[in-house]
Parts: sequence; C-alpha cells; structure tokens
Amino acid sequence: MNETIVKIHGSICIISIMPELDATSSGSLEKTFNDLLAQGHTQWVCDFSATTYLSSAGLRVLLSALKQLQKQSGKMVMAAVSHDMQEIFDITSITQLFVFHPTTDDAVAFLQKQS
Amino acid sequence: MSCLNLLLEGNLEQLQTMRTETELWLAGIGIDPSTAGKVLLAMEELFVNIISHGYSHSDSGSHRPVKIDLYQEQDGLHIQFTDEGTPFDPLSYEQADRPLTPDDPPIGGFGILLVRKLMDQVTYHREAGCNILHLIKSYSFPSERIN
Repeated sequence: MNETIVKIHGSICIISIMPELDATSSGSLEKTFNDLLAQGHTQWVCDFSATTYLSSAGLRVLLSALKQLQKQSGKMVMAAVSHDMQEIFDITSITQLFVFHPTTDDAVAFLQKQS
Repeated sequence: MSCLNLLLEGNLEQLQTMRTETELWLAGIGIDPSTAGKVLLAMEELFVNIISHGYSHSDSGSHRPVKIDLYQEQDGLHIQFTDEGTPFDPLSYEQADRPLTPDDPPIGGFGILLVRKLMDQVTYHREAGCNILHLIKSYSFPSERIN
C-alpha cells in the first residue's frame, strides 16, 4: 500500500506519493527519490492525489530531495494536493518553495513549457 | 466521558498501533476526519520526538514505555504524553526563525511547529522523573442527530 509508483513521461517523472507519508514510510520515498537522482531524472511531478496524511518526516524527505534537485538544475512540482495536505505545507511555510498544480496533467504541461 | 489509555514501547513499530487505536476511538466519539487527522499528526510528531530525543541515549530505549492518555473535557480533546526519558522539552527546540529561501531550504525542525499550530494548547512539565506533554485540541461537538 505504501509503495511508491513512478511513471516516466518523456523527460518527466510522475511520482505517486503514498497515502500515508509518515515516519515509517518516508524512508521508502527517500529511496525512490535517490534512485531517480542516480538515474539522472531531474524533472519531477509529485502526485499527491492519494495522500491523506503527511508528517514532518515526509516534509523532510521532500525538502532534502528539492535541495539535491536544485544542485542539478532540476524541478519538483506538486500536483493534486488536498485541502488538508495543503494546510500542512502552508503552516510550515514550505508552500513558497514549491509550485502547486491542481492536476498531474497541469503539472506535466507546466514542466514541458519550462523546458 | 470516554477516554483512551495507551501504553506503548518507545519504537517506530508502535506508531501504527498508536494511530489505529486513536483513529478508532476518535471516530467513535464523533470527531470529524479532518480534526482527527490533525490530532494524529501531532501525536506522531511527539511520539517520534520521544524516541529520537528522550530515549535516544538509552540502550533499552526501544522497550521503554510511552504512556498516552486521551480524554474529552468541556474545552476540547486532551492528549497527554508521559515518558521516562532524559529531561527534554521539545517546545524549547523550535526551528530557528529564519526566512525560507528557495536556494537553501531548511530540511528539519517542522515537527514541533506543526504540533503548536495544529493544537490549541501545548504545555510541558517534568514530574516524578517523567516528561509530560499536554495538548488540548478544541473542536465543535457534532450536532445531535434528530430522529
């Protein structure tokens, strides 16, 4: 259930974030992120459509990956973040570090336009 | 009034037990899922804090107890964490207040910030060799169902 699925769409990776991104599952997402970086993928869409729980352990993994992506001139775009999950990004002020799109299609279109 | 008393071992494997038990209890007393999500999140942050700070210096840390008591009062839902770890007030370890910059984002320190913002009251005190953290979450009681 907490397995991360990645779809490659041209040069863009769509990463399905697990339903519960917490202290126990965040390690698996971190591994996925590290694998993508090692393979040279740097255009990411994080699909939050299934995510209903996000803790600081999850935020830490997202921010750590963002930091590494930036070193490689990569991009991480958030998609389909629910109202409750958006609140977690907002109250920690992390919102300003990411671009948010209502759907993964919008996020992919955004990245395609940028490249 | 209904209450839930949990006695867990201080390790990450217990996180799921804490969440499942609490989620069931909160649903049973009629707390809406959005408020329940906030309570569960604050609880994870504090539980992980106890494991990584209060019990981190002890060899038997992963088996030492974390007691969690939840109950309802007029002013809302009360949650109290009690652990026997080294004195540790997480409220004094807030993330340094610095502006977030895209070039150098911080990667940690959000846990206690989340607890403070999601709960209405958070207090710490040390008593009888234990760390005691007390949270209060106000919420509106579900309206009475009219038959």
